[in-house]
Amino acid sequence: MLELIFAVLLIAAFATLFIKSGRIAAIISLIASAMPLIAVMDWANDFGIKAFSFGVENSMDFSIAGITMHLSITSFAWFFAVMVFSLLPPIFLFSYSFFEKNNGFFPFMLFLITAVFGILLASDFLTLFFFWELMAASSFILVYISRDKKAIMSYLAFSVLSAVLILVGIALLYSQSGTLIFSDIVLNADKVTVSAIILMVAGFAVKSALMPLHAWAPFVYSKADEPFVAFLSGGLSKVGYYGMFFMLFALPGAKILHQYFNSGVATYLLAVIGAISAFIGTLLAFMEDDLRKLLAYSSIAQLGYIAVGFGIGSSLAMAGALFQAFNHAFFKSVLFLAAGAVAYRTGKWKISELGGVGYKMPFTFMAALFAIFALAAIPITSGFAAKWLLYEAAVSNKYIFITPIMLIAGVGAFLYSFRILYGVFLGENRHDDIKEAPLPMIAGMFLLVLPLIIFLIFPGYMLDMMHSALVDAGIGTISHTNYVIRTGTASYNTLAVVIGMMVVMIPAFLIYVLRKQKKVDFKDNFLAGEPYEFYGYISMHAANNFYKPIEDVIMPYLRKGAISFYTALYNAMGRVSDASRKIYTGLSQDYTIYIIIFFFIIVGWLIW
Amino acid sequence: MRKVVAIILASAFFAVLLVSFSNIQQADYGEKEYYYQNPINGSYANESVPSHYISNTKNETGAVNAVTAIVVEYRGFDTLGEVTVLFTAATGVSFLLYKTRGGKKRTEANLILKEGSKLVLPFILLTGAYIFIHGHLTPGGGFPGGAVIASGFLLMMLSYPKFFMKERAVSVTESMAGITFAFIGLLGLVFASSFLQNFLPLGDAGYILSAGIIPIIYIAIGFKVGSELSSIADKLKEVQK
Amino acid sequence: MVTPVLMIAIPLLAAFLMPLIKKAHRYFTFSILLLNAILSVLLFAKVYNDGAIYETIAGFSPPVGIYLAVDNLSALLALIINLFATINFVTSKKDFKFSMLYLLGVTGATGIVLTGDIFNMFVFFEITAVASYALVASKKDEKAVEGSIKYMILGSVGSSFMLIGIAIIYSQLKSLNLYDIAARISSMDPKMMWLSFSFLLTGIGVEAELFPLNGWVPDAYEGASSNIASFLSFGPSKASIYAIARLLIIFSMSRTYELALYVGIATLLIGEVAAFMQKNEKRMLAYSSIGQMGLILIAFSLIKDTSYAIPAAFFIIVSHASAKSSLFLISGKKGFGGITSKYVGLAGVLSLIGMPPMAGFWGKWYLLMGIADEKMWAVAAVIIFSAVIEAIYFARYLHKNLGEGESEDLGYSIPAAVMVSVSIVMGILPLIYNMAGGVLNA
Repeated sequence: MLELIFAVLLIAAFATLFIKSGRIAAIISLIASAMPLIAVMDWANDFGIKAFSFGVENSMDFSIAGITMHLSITSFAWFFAVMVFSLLPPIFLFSYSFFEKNNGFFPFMLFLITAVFGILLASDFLTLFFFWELMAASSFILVYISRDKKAIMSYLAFSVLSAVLILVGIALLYSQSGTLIFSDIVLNADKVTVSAIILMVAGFAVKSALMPLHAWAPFVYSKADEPFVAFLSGGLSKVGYYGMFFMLFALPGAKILHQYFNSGVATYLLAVIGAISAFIGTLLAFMEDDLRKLLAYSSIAQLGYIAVGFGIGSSLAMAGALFQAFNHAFFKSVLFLAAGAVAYRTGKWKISELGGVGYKMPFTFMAALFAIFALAAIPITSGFAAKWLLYEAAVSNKYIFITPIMLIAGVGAFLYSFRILYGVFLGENRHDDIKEAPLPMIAGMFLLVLPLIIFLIFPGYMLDMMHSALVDAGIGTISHTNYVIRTGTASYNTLAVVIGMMVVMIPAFLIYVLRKQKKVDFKDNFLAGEPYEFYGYISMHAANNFYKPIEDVIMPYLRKGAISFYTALYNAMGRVSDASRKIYTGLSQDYTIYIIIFFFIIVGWLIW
Repeated sequence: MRKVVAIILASAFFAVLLVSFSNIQQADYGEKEYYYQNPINGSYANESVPSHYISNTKNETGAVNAVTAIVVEYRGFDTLGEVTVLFTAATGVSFLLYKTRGGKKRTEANLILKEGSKLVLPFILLTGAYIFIHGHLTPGGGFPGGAVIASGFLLMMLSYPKFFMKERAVSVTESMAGITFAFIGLLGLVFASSFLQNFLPLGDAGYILSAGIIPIIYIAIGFKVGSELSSIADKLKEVQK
Repeated sequence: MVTPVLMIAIPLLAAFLMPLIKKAHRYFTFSILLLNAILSVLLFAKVYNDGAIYETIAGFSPPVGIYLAVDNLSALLALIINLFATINFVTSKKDFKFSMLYLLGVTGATGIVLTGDIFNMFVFFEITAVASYALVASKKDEKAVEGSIKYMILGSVGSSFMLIGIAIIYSQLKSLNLYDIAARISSMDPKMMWLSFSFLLTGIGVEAELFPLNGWVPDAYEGASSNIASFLSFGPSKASIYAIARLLIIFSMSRTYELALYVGIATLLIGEVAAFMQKNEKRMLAYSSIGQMGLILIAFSLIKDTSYAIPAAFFIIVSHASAKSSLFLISGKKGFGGITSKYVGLAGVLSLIGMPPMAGFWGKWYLLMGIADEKMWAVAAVIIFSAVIEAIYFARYLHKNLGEGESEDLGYSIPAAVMVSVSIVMGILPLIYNMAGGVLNA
């Protein structure tokens, strides 16, 4: 059965390679992408959750003469598999309308899914690395389709960096323990093992766009096809976090790091990096005018929270981190898809050029609205529960540096999500001639919103899902019922919160609907009385230069950030390269002299 | 600067070579005997390669000239390769030098040279043929014989500006000679056990009709080298400016 | 009856025959190359089943006569060289002399791989080198001639070095047989041994594109037409790096392995760094080839201590031969016009970078596992650095070649696709690992 799933995915991938029509390819992909979901559902029974059973075996050894690949599902891989694979059918539903022609998105997306399935099932390092590289290769081709130079170069460079870091880490671990199979590996707290763990965590962090290694993300997220970006941000970044989770808690690397450094300094550093990612990502996001770049920085920020949770490592923090990962997978996919839907109808990406789209595309607006609530952690979606767990974990661990940064970033999330709402969907109505997005797109987006609402009301289900993962990783869970989460210091009853919200919201909504309205044309007041041209630049309003003062203060410092560092590195390397090519003078005399000098050097080296 | 470096390096290199080859004298060139293990049957032989050549050439190959026996029989495969190198070079030259013939007029040579070379040519060719036909008996062989033949044609080219080799004839000769060599090698594979192995009777050492395939191969080599060198000279003459 | 000598004798015979059958020369050459490729498959099957083959020439047992020594790896290399030569030859459009030279060049490379005699190896080096000089110049424009002349000057210096090295060995051991030399190398005067090793390494290193002996590489690759650049990257260079591997095994001293490791690292770094900012596509690919040769040498320098070295080197060789040759075939045009060359470009680059399902992945994997066995972490750091550099310039290369709507020359891109699919097949079937893991005798 497991072979069948792989076979179906690969056959579908090869089939779509030769199909010109985007519609047919989307249908094939949709069917194929349901296959891993079947397996995921089946395995739920193994981890204490009742679901249908299809008889999918939970481990498999796949042997090609000489090399055996061990595949089996673990509880934590299963948790990540749930979130990654439930994203896919809605995304393919969305892309049914998005792609008229099959430009290579569908086949390589299916290869990508195969690779992710393999990564999550891998139970030895060769399998893990093979599928990791397959993922890097197929996602690179998806980026390559975008034809953007910076995206292509940065994505390939960082993919290879991540791959080589992981490979060297594997080699280090292998030299210590002599085996590649996860269950046989015994770790000792020595220098080699510790550096292996650090290298591999860094390698996985590249995919998760953690701060110093995030430089590819803004370019790729803003240029590649939206459905792919939705999966890249929603799904693939989680695969990176799966790798980190695996290294730190399943192997378990965090304990080794504690033993070696005799304190939690390494994991604390991870938490700090996560918090800084969240903070700076947020700052960059709310000054960005390009909608896709805004979402990219927002992704970096939101993914930073997960790293904070991993760094703290208590049961509370881990629950929060996994919850946040799950939420982020869904709301960020919705946002990218919504951005894609808006661009599909208007063809524009700049927030300052958009506006009033929500009047014409109300369903897209609705979906995006829920996603933004989740992003900003407003307690009408499940985003709140995740952030709350994380904050409480940070506070209860007395992390005086991390906690305030996270809180500021949390407010910041609201600041930029507000700009999406106002600048894109509300505000001045500039788009009279557009229609609502096609039905498959809307259906895809709403399918993705659904879990956000379900886990708002029943966060206990989520905690049930991660229960065996946390227990298997030796972290321990927090006590909960379906509606109530009890932490050490407090308890949080979602049902009460939801009912409370309803009590306030429903009357407000009714009043809004029932009262007599006078329609006001936004054109009159969107500048709030300011002249349009103001001190030489277009004046500030919600869609344009809204945070100009902050930007003027902060931007000079942010410019010296990671991306300019990498650019400088690239240029410096370029100068070294130009200098090194001076060795090749083009004169055969010189080359002959080189030959003789080389000869003398090796003779000298060998004899003396 | 570059010249100074080059001079220093060249002299240092010369010193290294001097040192390395002066050591060879101390190691009794060709005298010492070693034990070998034969990689094919694992047996041990108690003699060195040079002494094997000196003592066994006549019995094994039937050639009186040991150098010829080594070149054509013991290391015949290398010779095939060397012939091919020459062939490759000749082909390369004719492939790359593509200027049409007769581009420039040259002054006529004087009468003595013209008539003299006509007179000498047959003797040169005869000498060349003698050298390669008698390769297994006397010093000489295919390579020097071929070179002598080519020098005869070169003489003609010098004395007669309009003298050109017949390209077709040269290339056919060249090919036929090469084919003969390789084909005899393959016949060795068929009639005896290995490539280039002798399959003809060895005959009485010292006679022309002896030493099996050696004379045939040497004649082929003589033709081949002669035609290749002449064609290279011919081609170079064409593009002279 | 498959004997290795046929793989040398038949093409030689065919090359001699070529001037007589001028007209059908392309089909004739193609069928000879194909026959050779089939022979090498049969040969490999035989070697794989029955172990290494030692075939005497002229009926004299080895120390006295010449013999061919074929083991798993050399049979595979002969297969690779002849297979790619067959595919690549499809693109040839020149006259019969070109076909002749091409055939001779391939034969020389095959001979280097198959022979078990050091002087015989030198002769084959000469054949393939002389043929390559002419082939590089075959485009007959200024750059081609310039590249060819540089190649010729350095190549001749290299072959003289090699000849002196052989002379020193013969003067000491009275033998030219590789197996025999390897068995008795310790009875050499140590200074003479090091001298001969240095001469041989320098001489072969010129052909094997090692730093700093590779001055001819950028010019020759840039000047040569694309199918000849492709030929250079799967033929002579691969055969000579294999010759260096044999050399290392013959001498088999830890100092020589160490030296090879350092030379390999220097070659890798210089090649990749030089390629990083190179704007000219062919020169960039040439520098990148230098880097890959360094990587192969690093892999071979681990032979003594780890069993991962040979598969690593083998997979990198396959990956580089197929990917770089196909990239050379499709480069030099106005970008990847059609869909075929686009996928060929992608597959080639991914293989060189070492991503599955290409052969390059297994090369990288086994190399790192070998390094893990040896615990040489500085080498690992060098590999990380060079891999990232390589990724950046290949990404730039891919982006630069993004063409749209232009037609492509299928005469080039289809052979390139066939070549690159070899890398994919080898990557999917790491089965070859077992085969390549067999003993490598000298």
